[in-house]
Amino acid sequence: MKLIIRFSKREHAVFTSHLDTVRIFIRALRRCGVKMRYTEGFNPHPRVYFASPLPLGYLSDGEYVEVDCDRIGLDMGERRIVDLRKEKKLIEDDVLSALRKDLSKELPQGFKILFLDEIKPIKYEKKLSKRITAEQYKILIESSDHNLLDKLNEYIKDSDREIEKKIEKKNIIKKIKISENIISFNMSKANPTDLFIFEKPEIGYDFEPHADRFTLVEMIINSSMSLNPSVLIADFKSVMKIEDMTHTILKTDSLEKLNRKLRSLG
Amino acid sequence: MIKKYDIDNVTECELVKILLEYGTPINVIYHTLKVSDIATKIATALNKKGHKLDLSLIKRAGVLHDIVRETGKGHDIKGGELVMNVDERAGKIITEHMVHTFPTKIDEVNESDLVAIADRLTKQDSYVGLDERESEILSRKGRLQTIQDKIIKNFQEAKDFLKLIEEEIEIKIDDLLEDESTDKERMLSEKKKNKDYDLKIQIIKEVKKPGRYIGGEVNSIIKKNIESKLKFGFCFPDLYEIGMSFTGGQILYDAVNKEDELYMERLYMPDFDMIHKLGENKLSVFSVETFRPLDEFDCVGFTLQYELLYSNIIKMLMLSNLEIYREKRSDSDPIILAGGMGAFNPMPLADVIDVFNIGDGEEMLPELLLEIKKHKDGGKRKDEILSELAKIDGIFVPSVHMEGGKVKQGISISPQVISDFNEVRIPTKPIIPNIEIIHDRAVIEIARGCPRVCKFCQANKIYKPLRIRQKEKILDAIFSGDGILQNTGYDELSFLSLSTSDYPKFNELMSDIFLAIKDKDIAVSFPSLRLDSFDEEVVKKMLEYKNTGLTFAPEAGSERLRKYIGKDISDENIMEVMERIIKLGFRKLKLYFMIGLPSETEEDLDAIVTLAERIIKLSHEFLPKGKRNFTITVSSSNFVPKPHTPFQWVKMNSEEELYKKNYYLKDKFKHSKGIKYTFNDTRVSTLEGFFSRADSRAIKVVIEAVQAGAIFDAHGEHFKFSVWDEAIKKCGLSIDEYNNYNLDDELPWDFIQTEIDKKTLLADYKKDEVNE
Repeated sequence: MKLIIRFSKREHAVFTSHLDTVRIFIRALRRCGVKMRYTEGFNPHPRVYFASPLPLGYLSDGEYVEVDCDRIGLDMGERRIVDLRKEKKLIEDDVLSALRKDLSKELPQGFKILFLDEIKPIKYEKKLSKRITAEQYKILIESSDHNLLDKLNEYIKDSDREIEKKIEKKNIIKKIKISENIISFNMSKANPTDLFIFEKPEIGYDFEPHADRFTLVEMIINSSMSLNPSVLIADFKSVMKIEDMTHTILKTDSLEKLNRKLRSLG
Repeated sequence: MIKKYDIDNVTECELVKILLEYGTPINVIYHTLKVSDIATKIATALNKKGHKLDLSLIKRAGVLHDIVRETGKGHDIKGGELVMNVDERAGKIITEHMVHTFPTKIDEVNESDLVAIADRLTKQDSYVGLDERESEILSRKGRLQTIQDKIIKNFQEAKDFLKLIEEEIEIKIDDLLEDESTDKERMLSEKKKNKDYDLKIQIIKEVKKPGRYIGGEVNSIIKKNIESKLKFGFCFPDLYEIGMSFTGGQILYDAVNKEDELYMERLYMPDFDMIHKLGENKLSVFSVETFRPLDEFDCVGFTLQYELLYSNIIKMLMLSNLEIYREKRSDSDPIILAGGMGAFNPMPLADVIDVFNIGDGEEMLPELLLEIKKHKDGGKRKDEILSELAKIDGIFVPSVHMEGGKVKQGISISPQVISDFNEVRIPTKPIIPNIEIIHDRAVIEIARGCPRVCKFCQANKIYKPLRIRQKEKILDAIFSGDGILQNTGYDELSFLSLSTSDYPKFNELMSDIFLAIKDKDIAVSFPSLRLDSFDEEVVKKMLEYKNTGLTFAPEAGSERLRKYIGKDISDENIMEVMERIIKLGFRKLKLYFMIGLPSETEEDLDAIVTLAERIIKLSHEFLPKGKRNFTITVSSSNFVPKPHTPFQWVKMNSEEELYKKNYYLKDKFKHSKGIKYTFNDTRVSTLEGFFSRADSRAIKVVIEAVQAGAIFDAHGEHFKFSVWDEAIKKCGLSIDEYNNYNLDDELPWDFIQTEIDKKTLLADYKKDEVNE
């Protein structure tokens, strides 16, 4: 049987790397009594598959992990073992909800589980990381520059704009065309709710004096290693010569292509 | 509009997806999930008392109650209308959740009341209780007094209603919902309480491996009412990933934090980039639990693991703006403790540390801290507290026990020994690091001490008496419901003791363990396995898990020298063991030797080469040509005489002698097929030798060297011998300062009375000695 989990990395969890996240999940699942299935071969490892790795320092509400397992043991008042091999029907909702709570408790500060669901395994289905074609982001920019929106507009409108990226291993410089990698791009002045989402409640409650400083960018970007939001923001900052500017990146979702449409992975 | 759902069978996950589709912000969804969890928990408790509350309805209304969550007014009415179209009852509850009239009789309680009360108990996604919620809401700015009054009135009604519930379910709501208020929220708020939170987060973002500094690990402890406790900062003078691999730290964390009046936090030596950032921003080294600066603890304690870490200790104090010399520190500065193996010669740090805990720490340290707390609460000054502590056995207080750089006449201190090794708590809930550390696995201590008599070994002399943990206690600590595997989720298990295979009935213990882990996907690793006592069955099992190599430590090449140093194994015995391991299928072997042992001659060095080559030759007898893949790594370390051992008087080889001997062997092994030779830095060993038998004058050298840039000397790449050489000269000492002890000399550590007295040590030193 297969479980899919959507989770967030927030607060101090942004300092946890992808590889550490994998290790943390596997241990937390074990503590929750989830009996994971293992890969065959000389060096078996649990069949726990993550969506694309999240760069260190990003907030995210759109992380996914799939778990192949045989049985889950739950702490629902008394310990209860659910043998998934024997259950023909889908697992009842209270079991899934209890596992969601158990697992949330077992993860370090900043990891939160949004939902946990059982999915029917599909034969020959691609791994999670291979199914993702795009990623959705929100970026909160703080700057005293009054023309920031105009500058962003000018920067992104240029359909020939390229970013140079050094590939250290091969010692070559690759040019990436921005317009080919960005699926949608939106920007606006931020509102108080956005400040809450970006973990700045102090400012959210007392928004007016700061209202001018915050800009929100929403974008969907091709899921490839070549261009990520921090590369884009860094390039924007240097090309448009903006000195006073900080930003926070939040991945809001991972998207797959289904019937030519992008949709949430969950 | 939201899409229709099957009211009877809708799952929590489907409800969350409805929120996502509608565009409810995700932080709000976490809040609604928590409200649903809490309302369900209270309802379940009420149902046990005969109420008939509809749990599915509570779930639906709970999860959807903030579906329209705008900052403006009316989200309750708008949300209610929206849900009403598909789920009338849930919609009605949502409409009522903000302006709510709570019943005054428990019989009238319904689902709506529970969602409304749960919402008032929850802040973001954590249970905080009505009082905290009320004060938080009231503290928001810009509200009219009449509205404030309304809020207060409404919360009073909620409190009355909660009392009704508590009476009915016969349990305090705080107790029922204990699990719902996670330590994780407190972790954050406690960090924010300490100054410069934002700045610290900023610099953590900028350094490599930020996980070293951020804390928040599973099983780490954040206590309530920290201000009322004695705050103890446990300092490990090396990087996080090394400090977190130290089982002793986990033992102390458990032992100290089990005391309600004490709170132990952890501090580690920051890496170079962090040191730079701390200096730039004038910040002290701070704890991972609450970001508390080192200098703001009531007490800090260093563990003394290795002489070359002295420089890091001094650096941590310097970074935290504390005076190095204890006499210069003020009354308000933390009391600085130290313990661990290094405390058995406390002299090099005697002018720095206020209190040394000599011997086992897990009973002594909490006792010591409670004593300090008692005197502190009683208003005593630091010097008064120190003289009180000096009365306790096993405690060395330099300001009381020393005079003119030397221990006063007649002072004698016996190391602390825990009362009953089998009754002492085993830490089965260790902190699980978020980042990868050196030894990332579950560890259980199976014995303390060692039955062997090797003369060079300090550990087996000071960990006395030999104590064995009962098999049942070990198995329970590993496998029970509150055992280390369940509490950590580790898939690797290891054992701690000076020599694992000397555990009595080792085979019995291991076969029980192998049986228990059979279908658990757990690997077992054995450090310090001694091949002269190994059991084939256990070793075979090991091969099933991992085809790793084996380690064997003959320590000396010739039978004569082995006999003299107390490691009495014959060549024939070694060869027999080798034959067995080759037959069992092992193909990699590591051999450990010591260079520079007393009475060592060229013959003894040659014997190392002969022995290794004999083993390779032996392997050829069992392996056909073309399949001869048996390899040996010969590793040599440089012998350093240690206090409290029979070799404490020995004149250590000079750096040049050690260097020559290492290269002599390197040259001899140059043409040996299948043998790799590795050796240690002779300059590092020489410095280790300097400090291991030093007196109180040596601290000047450390301070001098740190000021000249020496830190992380235990990490080879940062070790600069010239800096130390210079520092030693500058202080008017020589590298051989502590290398010329006579048998009748008073030694700096003589006042510590270990179980083996000086006469016995001397007799041991002379035993089996061969005068050439």
